[in-house]
Amino acid sequence: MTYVLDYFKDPPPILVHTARKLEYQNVKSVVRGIAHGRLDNLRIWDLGKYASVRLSDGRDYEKAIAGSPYAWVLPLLGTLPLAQVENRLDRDYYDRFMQLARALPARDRAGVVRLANAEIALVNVIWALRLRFYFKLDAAKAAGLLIGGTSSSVRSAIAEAFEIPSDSTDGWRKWRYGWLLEDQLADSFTAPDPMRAEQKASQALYARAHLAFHQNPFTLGPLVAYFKLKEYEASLLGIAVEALRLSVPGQDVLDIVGSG
Amino acid sequence: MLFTEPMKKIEILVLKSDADSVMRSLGFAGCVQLITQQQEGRTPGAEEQETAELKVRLQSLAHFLGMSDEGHAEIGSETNDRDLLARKARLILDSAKTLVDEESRLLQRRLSLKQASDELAAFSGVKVPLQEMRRLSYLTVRIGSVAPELLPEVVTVLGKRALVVPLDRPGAFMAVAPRKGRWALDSELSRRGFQAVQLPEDRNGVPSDMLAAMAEELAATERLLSAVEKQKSDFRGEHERELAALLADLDLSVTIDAVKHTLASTGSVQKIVGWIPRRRVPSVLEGLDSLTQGRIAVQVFDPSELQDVAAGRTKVPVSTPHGRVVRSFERMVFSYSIPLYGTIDPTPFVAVMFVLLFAIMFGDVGQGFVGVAIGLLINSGRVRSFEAYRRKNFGTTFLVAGLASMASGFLYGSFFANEHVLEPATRYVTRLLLGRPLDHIVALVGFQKIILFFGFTIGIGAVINSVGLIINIVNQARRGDWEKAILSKTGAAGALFFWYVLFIAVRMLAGGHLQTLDLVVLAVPLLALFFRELIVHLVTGHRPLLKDGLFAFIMEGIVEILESTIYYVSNSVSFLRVAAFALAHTVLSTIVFLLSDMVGGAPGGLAFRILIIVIGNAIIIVLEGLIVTIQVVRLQYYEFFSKFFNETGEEFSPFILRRREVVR
Repeated sequence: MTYVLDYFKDPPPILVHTARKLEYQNVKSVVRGIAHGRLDNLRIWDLGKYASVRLSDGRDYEKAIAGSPYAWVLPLLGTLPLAQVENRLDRDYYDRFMQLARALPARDRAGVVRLANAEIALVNVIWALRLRFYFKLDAAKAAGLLIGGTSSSVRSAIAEAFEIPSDSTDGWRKWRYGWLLEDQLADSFTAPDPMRAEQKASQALYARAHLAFHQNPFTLGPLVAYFKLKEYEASLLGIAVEALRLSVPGQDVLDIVGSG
Repeated sequence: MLFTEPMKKIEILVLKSDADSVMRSLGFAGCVQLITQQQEGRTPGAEEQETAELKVRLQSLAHFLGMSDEGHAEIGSETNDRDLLARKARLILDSAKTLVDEESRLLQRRLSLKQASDELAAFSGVKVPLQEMRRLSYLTVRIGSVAPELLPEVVTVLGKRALVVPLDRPGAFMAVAPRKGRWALDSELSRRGFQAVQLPEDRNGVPSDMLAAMAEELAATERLLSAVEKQKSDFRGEHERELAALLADLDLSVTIDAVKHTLASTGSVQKIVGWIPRRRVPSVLEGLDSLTQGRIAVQVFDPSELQDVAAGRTKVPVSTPHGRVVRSFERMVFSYSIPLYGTIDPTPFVAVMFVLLFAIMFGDVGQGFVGVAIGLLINSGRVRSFEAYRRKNFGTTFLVAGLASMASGFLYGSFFANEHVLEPATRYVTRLLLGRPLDHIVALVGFQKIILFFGFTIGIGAVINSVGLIINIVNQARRGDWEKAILSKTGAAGALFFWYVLFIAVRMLAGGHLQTLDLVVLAVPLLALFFRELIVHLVTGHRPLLKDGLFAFIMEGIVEILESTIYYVSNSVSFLRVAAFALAHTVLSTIVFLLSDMVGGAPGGLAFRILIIVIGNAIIIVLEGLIVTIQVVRLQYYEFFSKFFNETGEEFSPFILRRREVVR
């Protein structure tokens, strides 16, 4: 993605921030490393001159983060569970993204905000399912962990996600995001599986980004969509490469990424 | 020796340079009980510390070489040159150092390899290099196990969300899922009691390959250890005797150092104080004089010269030297009480009484022979588990009691409970001695004979009670306690009453009658007991004559007479048990043979018969042998010892260093 940014004399901040999704992943890796006491063998994406924190030289990660815009993360370690710290980073990423998107000129803003809203809505829905079924939280406790700025219809759908009985096939089918679960609602259904829902959401977002890439030409929308497509592809490629390194058969790789 | 051994107190002053030699000599002589007390502010010197440290290091080396703890003390060089000992000890330690270090290194290596193998065994089915698994960003890997029966459920429930690869061990598996699916994975696994195994931090490579390499390395290490074992064996063969001698010498030095800490000393003089049997004084003094070439000052005191002894503040230790047989009964006496210094030593009497009473109650040639065999086995020292009994000389007790049982068994005509086997021999002996053949010399058959036998055992009891009384009278008289010697229940008054009652009983059994004179003679000791307090106060001039008044005096007198009468009656009747147990032995033997006769006619009857005889005899030997022993001990404790043991003495406990085989 950096080569796209290099075309700009002064790259638009929204594009740089989109690319920095990988930097957020770097920070998450470091945070996990610190929490588990294992800072060797971390996979660090190098964003070159577009990085806001120098982690690629593999030196003192903690010190590097302490001197970066991500310094606020370090005091949270040890006081919050790791999952919540990672959640804070996600929320920070999307909050900044929305700030930058709203500041764009009108012609650039429409496509970017639309794509971002769709992504944030799905991220929140998946988080809601995770929080309910993995972390056993109720709606009130989960509210503070979701990304803000979503529409009222999304907020009410998320609230419903905490109210529908877990084994209610009808309830989930009628839910606004029931399509994320439709392949799960068989006779043996007992509760939604957030992981499979997330795979569906990722595929839907990929389709959405693919569509956005072809809309609103000569605006920043297609570029943001392009970055999102690369982000998703990079993630799939990363899984594939690592799975192959572990000698996982190809079909199994497709199965576990939900593409089987 | 009728009385306890005469003792002397000895005080020795020697130069500190001679102290070790003198202590060794006294320890080897084993005849001085040291009078010790903890010396305040005395700290071990550098030489003492070094000796103790070298001893510990040599013990470690002996242990390393597989030498047993026993036997070190059996040999020694008998040198007390500590410099020489230290030099030799260091030399042997230095020469073993390479071997010790090498074994230590190899053992450490083996341990580390085994630990690493155990750690890696959990990953033996993983065909992926460990470093790869540590570097995953997009995938999450979990390795561990669930209950084997839950594994199919894990596979089903994870479905396409994760790949489950079963590993070699039952229930063990590796699960691979996308990083975003880690919550789902962990959640499903934890619900099924998943036990995760952490990847070894410091290892890289494919576990199965690494395990194979480790197994090879382990085998190589084992081979090296075997080689070291051989070297150890060679080293031991070459140095064992020298090492044992050094250990023995250092052990002696450490023991002596510990004892010296409890003895008074000045900068250059060591004081050694203790008790020694009078007969050993000349030889010990002569030895010490020659050892120190006259650099010694000795004072010897008779207990009668010592104020502490006269005032009763110090007890003179009691030594009772005995031959092997009597010595084997010492514990029986000393576990009850220790005689006072200067009193009669009851152990020889106990030995005779034990053997006699045991033989009467447990008479059987065959069963007695078992006792003899056990005694010989204990004394031979060949059975390791009997070693403690051998040291306490119990083998001789078994031997003597067994022989006595055989002798009385011959009189009863009993051989392994069989009453007929010995008849030919008995007939031969009785024809020879009496001129007419008898089947049994002593046959406990018929009412009259049994009554006679009961009378015989009461007679034995009378003798034992009398010996106890005489011992008490003599002991009290020697101690100058004439009140107890004459006017007590177990003194002359009590004895006179007891003996005269016996005399009257014997006379009446012989057809005589009770006469007035008998009553007069009986009244004398009883009146002496009644008026004891009055007589004593009159003789000693104590006033008032009656301490608690006339009524109390009369009541006490009556009680004393009643108590004495009951005491002698019960002490005599108590010996009826001897006859009762002898009869019980006969009855048990009869039962065994009745049972064996009952099965004799059945198919395979001979085998059953032999079995019953063997088991029956075993039961008699173990059960009745134990009961009879307890009864004999009980009779001695309550009927014999109670007459004269009324104060406990102090057992002579000499400072002993074991004499050893000398290595040159």
